[in-house]
Amino acid sequence: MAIIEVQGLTKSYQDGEVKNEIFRNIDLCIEDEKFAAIIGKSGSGKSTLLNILSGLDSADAGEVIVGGKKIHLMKDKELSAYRSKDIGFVFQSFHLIPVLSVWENIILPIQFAGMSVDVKYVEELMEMLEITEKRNALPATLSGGQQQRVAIARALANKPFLVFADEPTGNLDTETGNKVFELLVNGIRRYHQTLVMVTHDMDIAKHADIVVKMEELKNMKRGYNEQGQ
Amino acid sequence: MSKDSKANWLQERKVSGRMIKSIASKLYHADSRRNITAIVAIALSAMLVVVAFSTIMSITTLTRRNQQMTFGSQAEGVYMYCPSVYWPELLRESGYFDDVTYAVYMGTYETDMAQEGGNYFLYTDERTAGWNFNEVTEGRWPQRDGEIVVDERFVENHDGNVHVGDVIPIKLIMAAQEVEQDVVVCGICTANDALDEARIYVSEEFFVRDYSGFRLETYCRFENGKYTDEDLAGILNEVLSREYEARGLVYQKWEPLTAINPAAGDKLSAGTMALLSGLITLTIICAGLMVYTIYYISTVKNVVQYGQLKLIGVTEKQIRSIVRCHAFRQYVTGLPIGCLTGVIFGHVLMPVMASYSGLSGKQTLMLKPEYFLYAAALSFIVVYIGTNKPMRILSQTPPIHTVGFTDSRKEKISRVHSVRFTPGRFARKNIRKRKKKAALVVTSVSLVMLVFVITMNIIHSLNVEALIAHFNLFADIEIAADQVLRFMDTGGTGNVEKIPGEIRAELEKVSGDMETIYHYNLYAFSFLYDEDAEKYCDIVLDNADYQEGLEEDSAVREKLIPRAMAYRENGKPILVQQSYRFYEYNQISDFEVFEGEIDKEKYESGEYVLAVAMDGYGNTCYHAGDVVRLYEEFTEKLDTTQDGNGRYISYDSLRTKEYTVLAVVSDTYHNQMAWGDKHTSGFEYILPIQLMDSFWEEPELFMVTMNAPDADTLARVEVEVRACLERMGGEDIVSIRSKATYKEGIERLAAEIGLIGNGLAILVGVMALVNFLNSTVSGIAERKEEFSTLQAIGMMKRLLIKILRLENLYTVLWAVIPGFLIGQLVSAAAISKASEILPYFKWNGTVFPGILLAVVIILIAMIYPNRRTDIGNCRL
Repeated sequence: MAIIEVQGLTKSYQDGEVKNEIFRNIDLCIEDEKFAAIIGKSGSGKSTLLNILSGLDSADAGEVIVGGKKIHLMKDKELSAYRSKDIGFVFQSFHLIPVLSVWENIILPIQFAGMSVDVKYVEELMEMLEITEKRNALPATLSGGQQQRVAIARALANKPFLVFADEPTGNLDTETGNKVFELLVNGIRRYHQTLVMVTHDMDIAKHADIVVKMEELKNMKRGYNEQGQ
Repeated sequence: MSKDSKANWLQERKVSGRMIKSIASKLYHADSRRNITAIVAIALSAMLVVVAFSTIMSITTLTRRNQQMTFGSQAEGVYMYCPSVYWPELLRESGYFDDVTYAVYMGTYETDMAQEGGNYFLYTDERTAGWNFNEVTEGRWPQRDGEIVVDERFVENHDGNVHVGDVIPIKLIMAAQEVEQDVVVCGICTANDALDEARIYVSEEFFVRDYSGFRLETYCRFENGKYTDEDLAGILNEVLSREYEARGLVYQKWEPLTAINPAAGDKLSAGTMALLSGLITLTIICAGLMVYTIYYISTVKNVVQYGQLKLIGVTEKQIRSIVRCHAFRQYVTGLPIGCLTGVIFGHVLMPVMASYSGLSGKQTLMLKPEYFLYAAALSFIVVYIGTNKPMRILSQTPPIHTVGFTDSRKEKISRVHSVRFTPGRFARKNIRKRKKKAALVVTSVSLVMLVFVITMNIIHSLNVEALIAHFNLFADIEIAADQVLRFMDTGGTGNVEKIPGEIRAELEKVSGDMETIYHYNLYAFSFLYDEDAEKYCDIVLDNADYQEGLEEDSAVREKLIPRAMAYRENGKPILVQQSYRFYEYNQISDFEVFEGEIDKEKYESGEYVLAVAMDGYGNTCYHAGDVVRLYEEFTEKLDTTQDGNGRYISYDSLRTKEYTVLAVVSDTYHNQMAWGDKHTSGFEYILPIQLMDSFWEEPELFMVTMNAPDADTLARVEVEVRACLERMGGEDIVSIRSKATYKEGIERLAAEIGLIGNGLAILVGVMALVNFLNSTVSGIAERKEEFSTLQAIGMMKRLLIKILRLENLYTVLWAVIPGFLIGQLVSAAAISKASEILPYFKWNGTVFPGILLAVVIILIAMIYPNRRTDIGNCRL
């Protein structure tokens, strides 16, 4: 069953009088409980696509349906609910709240969503991600790898059906990056979640069920097919 | 919504609310700089509101109290010197007033310990006495003959040894008789500090038995502002004419003395309201700007953090709740601190303000609950103004900002200019980009400049010498009874009071180096008949100059004109007051002469007098060469028995001597024609001092004036004279005023104007500086990326700082130049206008202080912010 369906997605940026088109009329379909890796050159639009899928950015045209919900039609309030309940996001720069402890950072989305914290589940997550001992620590006292594991725990904490990750190992050394990636993938497999990850690392992409190459995605011209050429 | 889903929704809301509070608390403590600044701003605004309301209302109340004390009553209106006891009754029956009562000054009293002036005994009821600041504090109101209530000054005059129940021997002196009796003190009442009277009140029984009085005052109460002085006069005439008509009598219009209590209205004056509104508006704007700028800085710093919250699903509403929560915490912390400091500061400020305003009485700081409510409401406005926009910015920041991958923050480049780069051009472009912030800084700094320039110009334009002349201070030192000096100060007239002879003896010991004049006066009454009366009528009724002078003084006019008219209509002799003054030749030789010549030999011969002109134009009844008859002896009491021809027997029988008028002189100083007056009400003659001893009655020394040859002598002698007077009994007996103390007082007034004006400038200045610094700091924080980029592409840190300095320079130049110019124009216009009414204000603008302040502002603007902001460490 397709969890993400994208049709005719177009995105461009206006830079002065010049219009820079990132991609035009792209289609994409990602199935449930799969790990999809989006790869491509710098500036190819990987992160933009991810931001649009996660509701952080809007497209110029096209439809984005995630878990049956039409993201492109959602208003701010619905998007907030979508981000807090349906999806999790892991960033390259961790983006933890500096004034909150590890525990508070993890349960934050759950509580903002107004849901009760499943303490057992969160503790299990922390144990799996090996950050139990850092429960009361502030982000500034953690290493990069530990911070990213907290970010992963936060992304999984509200039991989303879909997790987005934007180069989650980009700020980490290879060894730590691999470890974090392994934990992330283990996590989504364990809880039967879908993972959409933007990465430059081909070694990581190899582990994916689906590899979406931006260049290929952009070259699949819908108009061409429709004209029967 | 099903029951279960509704319960879930409620549960979600509850949990979410708790979380908001929790995260708000964490984020709150993470931004202590913002919190402290905001709390200080809120506390400052609350404090200023409490101080403004409490002190202004307290000073207003105290001023009213002082006005009422001087007026003598809290009644809304009063008819003074009523000639008939029937007036109050008629007025009461007229229905114009809510209430009408009266007090009768029955006479004076003497006791073993109190024989000086100001000892009056009165009759009135207890409630009226209460209105007149004589509230009974101990005992009760007199109910029968032989009982009196004494005021606190009476007790003071008797060394405090008067208590309720004491029996005191007293002499009550009335016009017709004197009564010596033992009276029982049945009560003690408060004294009116503003009136120099030690009062006692007698019972109605005594009043009815011995009805007499030399003054009756009728007090009327009505809705504040309902009547004017003229209305009161009109009411009385209407009431009396009705009464006359009812009795079949012909009514002649009265010109009664009426007055509306200046303090009876309980509304704030327009000026006070404007001051209060201005202070509050200024406070709200300045404090609001402080909160706004610090919140803006915080927003710039924390926008990513709030963006992260939005990334994980926090809604705009929840972000706003967090910021509101912070603002609320700052509000509930700052408000009580502000109110408390306001109360403390108000208690300190109140006596200082009362002292500077010359207000007496109990200085209680009025603290009403509504002042704290106002403080709470206005501080809330400050918080709202300060946080609303930053809160909106934070809540509406798209979460994509956090990821840093968007074009929404990119500047739109409409045109690419290929102009040469210069720091100045760059700085100007930056100011144009930040127009709103620059406008705020320009407004607040120009306001500081404006207030400062106006204040300095006011101080500079205050002409001390002209102001001293305003007080009729003609000698370096003047010594006389307090009442005499006060009359000269205010341009009024009044009877002179004697200076005891022993004081002259003491003054002679210390005033050797001074040019001292001892002013002696002898009062006499005379009646004018025939030719003399005709001359008098010509002046009083027909002379335009004199008439013009009389217009300024209705009280005198109402006395003199009826007397002159009565003579013309039925030949009734005219009562006039004569005043004989005695001087040595050299003391009068420089007087302005209208007619004749002051020949020394003739003046000292004892056969001539100088007639003082009746006004400043030289109009007089007696001209040079005329013969006048002056008394050589006086009766003790005015016996007005008339003979068949209407002449006053006792006065006509007094021994007189004929003198020839040597000259008609202007003697503005000695005949009490004060500044602005153009007339006198009686006749004054100047005689040589050697004639003093030949008079049957000893003239009274009423004033001593001294002029010093130089400033050092003046400074030394003034100290000695003051010490001498202090030894002789101080201000209770005689007062002193001097040019030096007046100058000191005026300089203090100038200092006060400077204190208030510059205090306001400093207050606005501090706020403006905080705004300016915050604006600069927030600007740098906002433009960190820009600075990093500029440094990354090779711009030296020095050049970057130079650009910032130029930005600041251009911004403050936009503020100080218009502020300076507008300040000069406004003060020139205001002072020129004020000088029409206040002659001691003459436009004498100064540019130096303004330029100095401009230089200081520019230096602060250019040096301080750049030193305090570490732009050099900006990294990409």
